[in-house]
Amino acid sequence: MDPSDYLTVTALTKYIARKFTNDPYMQQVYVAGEVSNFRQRPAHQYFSLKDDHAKINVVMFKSAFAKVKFQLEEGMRVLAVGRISVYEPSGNYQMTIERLEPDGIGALYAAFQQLNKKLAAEGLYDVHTKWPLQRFPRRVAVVTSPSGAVIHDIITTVRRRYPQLEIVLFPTQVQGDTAAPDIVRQLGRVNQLSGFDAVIVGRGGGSIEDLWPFNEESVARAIAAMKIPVVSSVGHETDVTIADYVADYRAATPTAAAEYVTPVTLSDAQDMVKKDFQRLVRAQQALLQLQRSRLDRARASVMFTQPDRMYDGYVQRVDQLRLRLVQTVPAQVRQLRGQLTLASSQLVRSGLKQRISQDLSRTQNLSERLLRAQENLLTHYRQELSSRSEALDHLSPLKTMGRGYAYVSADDGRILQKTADYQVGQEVNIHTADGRVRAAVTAKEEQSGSK
Amino acid sequence: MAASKETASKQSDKTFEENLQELEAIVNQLERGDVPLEQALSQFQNGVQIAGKLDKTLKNAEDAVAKVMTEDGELKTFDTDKSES
Repeated sequence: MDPSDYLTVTALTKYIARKFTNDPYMQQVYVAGEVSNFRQRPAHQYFSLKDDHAKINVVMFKSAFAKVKFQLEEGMRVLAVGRISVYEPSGNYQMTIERLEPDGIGALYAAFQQLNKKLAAEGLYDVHTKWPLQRFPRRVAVVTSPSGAVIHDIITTVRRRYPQLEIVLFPTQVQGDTAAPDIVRQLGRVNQLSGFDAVIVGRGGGSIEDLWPFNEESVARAIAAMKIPVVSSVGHETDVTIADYVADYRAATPTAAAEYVTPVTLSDAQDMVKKDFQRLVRAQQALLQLQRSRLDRARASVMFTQPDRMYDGYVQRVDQLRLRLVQTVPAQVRQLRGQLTLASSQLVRSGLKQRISQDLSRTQNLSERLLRAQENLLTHYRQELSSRSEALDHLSPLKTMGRGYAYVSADDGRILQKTADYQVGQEVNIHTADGRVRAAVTAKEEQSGSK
Repeated sequence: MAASKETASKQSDKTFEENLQELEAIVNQLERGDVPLEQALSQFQNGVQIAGKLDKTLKNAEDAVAKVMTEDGELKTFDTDKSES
């Protein structure tokens, strides 16, 4: 063959390149692979896609790369759409990627939807279970990374709006495998400590993987279990996570979250107090005015201006009563006098006087008879008494003693009747009819047979 | 829940919210005008006192410092400048 029949490298490469560009399959290929040799460069990106057995170089131009919504990382599994071309200077074929999505998003999305449905059915999203925010909170907990923009934005906003609010940061891992358990743990600590009026939980923007901890069921349940209002601020405005659904309030940005927990700004609060104070003073003035006018009205009343009038009624009544008295009393006296005269004349006519004198003489007569009867009776009893006394006298022991009998008594007054009553040597009293004899017993002799 | 929240804020005297509500209650009552004068006078004094207290609270309250809760449960001042870097 003539050397002129040989192809130049350039011609061959152009031919090969044309084979690629003319092939419709090569112009739009869908490739799934793992990112390799990736190191972000300022403009266009050069890296590889590989799987276990092969590798292909890729280029991604600045305009296409700017549209990627997630953070591209080494080792990440991706789904790429692009075309295959030849880079003539090096003779390499490469894939020019136009669109890039993380692989596995389908699986994550499915998991997200499943959990979403489950929690919604359980009622975790229900509005009525949510707590109201305090108008004047004192302390708010923030569960987020200590190094992110989130805590910084929250502090800045709170200082501007309601600087008295104390912010307490619970430094939390918000990315990676340990993030979910750490968020759950810190929320639990907030729940246990009292004295917080609300809690903000969140992190800054990132890929769906970065935000994934906030789609975990454990985090969702920890948020639902909070005893204080929860404000979520996860990712950018377009990102919505399960945490956002479960939280009482979803803030698009950390600044908005800080605004949620400071619903009343300091100057608003000052205005409120000022307004209330003004109302208070006005109300008081109105009340005093009202009472004053009532007092004035009372003072202006007839009673105070013409007190005489108060007695008008009484004076009139006294007059009327006096008139009736003057008219009625003499008439009654006249009537009574007539009745008296009539009664007196009736008394004379009835002969009562005569009857009285008759009764009087009868009474005297009866009294005399009574006296006489009494005297007779007394005389009778007196005679009876003297005759009985005589009879009694005959029976008296004194009479017996008058015939020479005597009785003997001991010094103690005991009457000595039997020989046994006497003791030899004893002094005894012998009672006679006209006196007493003192005697001594010298001997005694009992008659036998007499007991 | 509400109970635990109340106990949390009951430690000192009344909260700002409670004071403000009391002030509003007094104002509403005085505005209705059906309060006996003696009572109105004492309520007015009470209201003025509360308003003064609230105003003072807002004016004099020191700005709260951001804190960080350490793992040991200690509260430390949170240095915002350092976190920005």
